[in-house]
Amino acid sequence: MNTEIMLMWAAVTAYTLSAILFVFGTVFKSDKVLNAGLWVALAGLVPHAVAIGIRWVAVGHGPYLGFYEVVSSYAFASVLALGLIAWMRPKLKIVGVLLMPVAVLMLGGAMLAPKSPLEITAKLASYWLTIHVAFAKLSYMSFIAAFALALLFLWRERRGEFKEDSMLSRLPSQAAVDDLAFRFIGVGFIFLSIMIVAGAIWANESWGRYWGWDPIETWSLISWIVYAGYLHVRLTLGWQGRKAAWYAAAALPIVLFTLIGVPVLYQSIHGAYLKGY
Amino acid sequence: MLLLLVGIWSFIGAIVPQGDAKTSAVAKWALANPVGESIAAIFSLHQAFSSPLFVAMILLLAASTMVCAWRRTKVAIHRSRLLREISDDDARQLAARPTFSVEVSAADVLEPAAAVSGAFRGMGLRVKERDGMVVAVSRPWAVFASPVFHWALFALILAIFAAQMTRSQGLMGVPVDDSRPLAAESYGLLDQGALYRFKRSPMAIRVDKINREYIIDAIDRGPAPTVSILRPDGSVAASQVVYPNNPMRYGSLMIHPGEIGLSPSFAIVSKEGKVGERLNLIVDVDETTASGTTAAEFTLGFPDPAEPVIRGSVTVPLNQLEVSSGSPRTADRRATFVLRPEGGAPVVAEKTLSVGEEIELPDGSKLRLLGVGNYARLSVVDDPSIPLVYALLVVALAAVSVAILGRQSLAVVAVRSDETGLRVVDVWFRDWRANKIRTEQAEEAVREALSVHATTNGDAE
Ligand code: HEM
Repeated sequence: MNTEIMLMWAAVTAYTLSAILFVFGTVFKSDKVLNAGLWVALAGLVPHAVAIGIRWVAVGHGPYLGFYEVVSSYAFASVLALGLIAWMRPKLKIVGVLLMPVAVLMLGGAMLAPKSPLEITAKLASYWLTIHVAFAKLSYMSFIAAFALALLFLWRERRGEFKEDSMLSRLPSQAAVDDLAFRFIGVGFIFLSIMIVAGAIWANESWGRYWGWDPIETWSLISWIVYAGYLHVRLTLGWQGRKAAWYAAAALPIVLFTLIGVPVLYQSIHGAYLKGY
Repeated sequence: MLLLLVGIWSFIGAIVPQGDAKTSAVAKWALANPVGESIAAIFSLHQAFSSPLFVAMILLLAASTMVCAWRRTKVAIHRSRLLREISDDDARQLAARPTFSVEVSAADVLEPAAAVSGAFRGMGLRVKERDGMVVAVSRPWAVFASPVFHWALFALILAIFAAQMTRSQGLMGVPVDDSRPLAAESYGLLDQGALYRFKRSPMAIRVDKINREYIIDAIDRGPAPTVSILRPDGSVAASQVVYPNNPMRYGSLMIHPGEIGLSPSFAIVSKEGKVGERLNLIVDVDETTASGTTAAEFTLGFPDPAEPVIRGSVTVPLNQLEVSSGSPRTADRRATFVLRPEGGAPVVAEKTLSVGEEIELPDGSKLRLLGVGNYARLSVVDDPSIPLVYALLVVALAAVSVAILGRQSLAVVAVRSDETGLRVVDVWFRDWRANKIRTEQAEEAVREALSVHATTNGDAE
């Protein structure tokens, strides 16, 4: 086993431990255990980051070519989203109980995938790639964070009398959770817009057209419309709280389908990031 | 609503394969989904993104974006007026129905207005004190971001729509050392916008050579053609190597590299031995044909009108290995000619020539193979709208960012004394972006500044 893979397994272990701590902390309503879960998760980011860095240097490009690299990077983004939420509102670290199991599943899946590197080809070599991919990851990270917050919101709604539940009642107000989810979607939407514009400019550089209704282009547009819809119902129709949370929760699967379903299901000039050429 | 429609349409367009009936994916899909196919036919779903219905939807979307932009503009003007120059009367009226009120005893704070001003400054608002009231506002221009974005989006839809009509885009095969004018007949495949016109005395595109290997930053970008753009008088206007992600730009022209194929060339040699004009044809490697390449067609006319015109075709025989490698060498190549007179008479000749060899023609002249070289297929786009589209994209991006991140808050604070002589701070607060949470934050900040923990007694608005 080489260093990269060893570090990756270290990250898998940390995330798994963290997921277990989060579940225990939530079930037994222990803030201490939740805190431990958070710190173990953040500690797992270190070997994970180093492993990504090692591979970056070895294959000569960032983590965006092939299932292993892409899914691992989104597991990283999910844990980072947890860190971000916990940093903004420490009590909301409880979303780790949703995010960490997902991160474990993703990273585990990535570990099972073939790891042979895909080369940067002449077709890919452009600085627009960097911009395009970086903003794709930033926007997905924001949407994942919003999704987790929306689920937390709905969970607390379900509990109805959450005022009596010592754990959930000590969290920031529902309005604050709702607002944070909204802000994540807001910045995620900006990142998504930049990603699509950078993609379009790149498509023009690379293929001579900025928009060609390629499946991934169509689906990105659909994702964009979905989140534009969220912002509209929120800012013009005044949707807040439960309705907005349901919307945010339903939106993420569509976006994930764009990311993972489209390249798998369609024969697209754009599927290289999961399947290779 | 319309956004939703376009979304659903795109969704259908993404599910139903796109393209002509000839496209294999479309044909397969039609067989597998006979019911779907009849629906698809009615709504021309295989061309979902150019069907009249979709165009109509986009136009509707543009119209509704415009209406929306117009409404946003009016709202923004109204808000910015409030933020910039709310009148004393209006301010007083707002403060009369406070969002929340806080009672302060003299002992707590001497100057409640100043304390509240500080609280709002801390929230990033600009504070004006006047006539016993405090007015705190966010930056007024932020309210214009939303209309600017919607107008930019509207302009973008129109610009892209117009661009479809004023652009041309196509594939053009250009043999090495040869040139093709920028005219419709030069393209093998051309998509010409309804309003696009080729120039009368066009520029031309020449391929000077093909760089088999072209390594930059340790990545092979080849085979990469060196392309020149010629002015109508034949002088070179620009010249460069084109490779992926490094297209050639000249004015509104953009040239991308495509595949490389073979180019057999021949000339007619007269009975007197005079060699005529060199003709370069283009053929592609094609594993489905017997020879291994597609056939290039040509016609030969003769000075004597009695001689029938001859239709010819030429292929370049390749071996299995060359076909699978896709880029055969050009040295020592031969070409197979098939010549048949127009009108169904028997074949004049079917012969494979080496370079320099000839076929005798009915009138005594000869067809001589001059060589087999390469040609480069170039994607040639002429689209003058690109700078406009990019500019609109940048404006839209900047505006949407400010629209989402910018604050839009207004607070009016008045201090009064109630019947018992207690001072009461009335705060009317509104945030047009995240009202609930910011109101909570504002109340928290105000209470902290006044260091009191009295109960809220106003909950208006
Ligand atoms: C959810 C949406 C999208 C994601 C996640 C995404 C992600 C990526 C990734 C990871 C790559 C690099 C590897 C590859 O070739 O596939 C890439 C390449 C590229 N993307 Fe996107 N992209 C998205 C949408 C778009 C859109 C909307 C456009 C254009 C309008 C676009 C244009 C391009 C271009 C031109 C390339 C270069 C691909 C090549 O030359 O093979 N992308 N994208």
